[in-house]
Amino acid sequence: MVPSQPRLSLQTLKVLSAILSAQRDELSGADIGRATKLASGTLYPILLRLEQAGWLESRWETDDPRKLGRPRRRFYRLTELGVRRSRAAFSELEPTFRRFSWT
Amino acid sequence: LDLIWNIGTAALAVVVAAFVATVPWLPKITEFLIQLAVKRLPEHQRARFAEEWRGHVDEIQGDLNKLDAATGFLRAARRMTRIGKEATGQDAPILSRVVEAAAFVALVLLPISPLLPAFFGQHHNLLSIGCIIWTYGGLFLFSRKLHPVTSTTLYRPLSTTDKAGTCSQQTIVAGELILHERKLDEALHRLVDIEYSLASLLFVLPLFLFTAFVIWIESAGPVFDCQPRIGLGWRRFMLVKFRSTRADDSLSHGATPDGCPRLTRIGRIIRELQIDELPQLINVLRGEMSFVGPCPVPPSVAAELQSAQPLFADRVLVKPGILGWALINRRCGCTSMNDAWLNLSYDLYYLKHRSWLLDLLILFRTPLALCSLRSCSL
Repeated sequence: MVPSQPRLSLQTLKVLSAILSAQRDELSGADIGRATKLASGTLYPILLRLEQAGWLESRWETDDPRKLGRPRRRFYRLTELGVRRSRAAFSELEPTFRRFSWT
Repeated sequence: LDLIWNIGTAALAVVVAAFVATVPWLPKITEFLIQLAVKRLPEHQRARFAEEWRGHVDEIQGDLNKLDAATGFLRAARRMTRIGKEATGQDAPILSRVVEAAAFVALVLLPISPLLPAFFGQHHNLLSIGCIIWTYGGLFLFSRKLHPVTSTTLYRPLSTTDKAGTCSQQTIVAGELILHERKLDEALHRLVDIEYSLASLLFVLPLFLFTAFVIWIESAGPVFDCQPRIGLGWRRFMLVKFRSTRADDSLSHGATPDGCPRLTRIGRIIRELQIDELPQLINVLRGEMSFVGPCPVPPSVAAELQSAQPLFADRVLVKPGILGWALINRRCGCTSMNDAWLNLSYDLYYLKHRSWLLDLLILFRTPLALCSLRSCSL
């Protein structure tokens, strides 16, 4: 069951813009949280939703966790679809981003 | 002896502080919270997020920040279990259901509260009220989809460019508000509306008759002035008001500003006291209006606003009301486009958060607001 279109809430847009504007093309959940200043409780549902919609894909860090001495990280990146859709969403929103006063 | 005491407590404090500092309490709690959160997830996601969240916490600096993130995972897990179920509708949280049920009971009991002691014997008073609360509360607690209106797409932007290819501010902020109202909610709203309009009509009946009589005496013409308004689903209905202008002019149906010579003397007074809005109770009784809702708007104004603000269309998803969130928050009456935007935003807020509790709040705040506000007569 794949939802066709994730809901474009303000938080979702923040996440998308953080990934779009990042230097690297892969970010861990903590990186995205730091960039968007979203609480972890808000962030992960959004990430999961975007991933299920096919906008994001994620993979484990390839290094062995025993060598690193810390848990593996999971990196998120935008898919082709995600880049296309989020660019479209932003170009639609840009001029009046601050007008959503009642949502 | 005092000195020994002081040294003793100081030493104790140092020992306790050292103990707290050395034992890694916070990481332990953090780990515990992560495990707790992961248990809430569906089976196939547990392994992944257990590892991912430990990695997340590992990346964050500071024990307290780690703990904060871990408490967030509890919330995240609860939300993540709901992903995919949203399309079928979900139950509101239990607390808000209880609050809603209580608000509904209060709303229903409010107009008939003077009658309650007469209905039930003195000794069974509390018991009877308890029964009513239990019945209505049960009705709500075991029903699905409590909040009648939700925006499933959070004002998702629709088309951005109009025909000329230009992009104006108003066209962009279009959205989609989808109404999830159960048949039951509709029926209950209707019942509450009937109850309130009947109760207030009874209450204001002397004033009502007196005003009608005075208008009839003062100038020739009908007592009521019927004006077209846009109702539920763009259906037109005739809004009933006490006539406050001279009969020959009221045919024009234009907005009549206060202080206009067309106003009759009585008209000026009843407008000032908002009495000319009272016959709207008849509209509520007839089912064209609701007691609480967005302001009713004349068709000409509606068409104008609709072309400027596509979100305006969302307002017709519910019946217009005598009282409203826009009315108590701001003077109703669109003098400029900016005011119209503000009113619209209040109306949209009401639509999105519509609940019995909000209705009750509006009801209680209206008398206060009316002291400083003017009528909702566009």
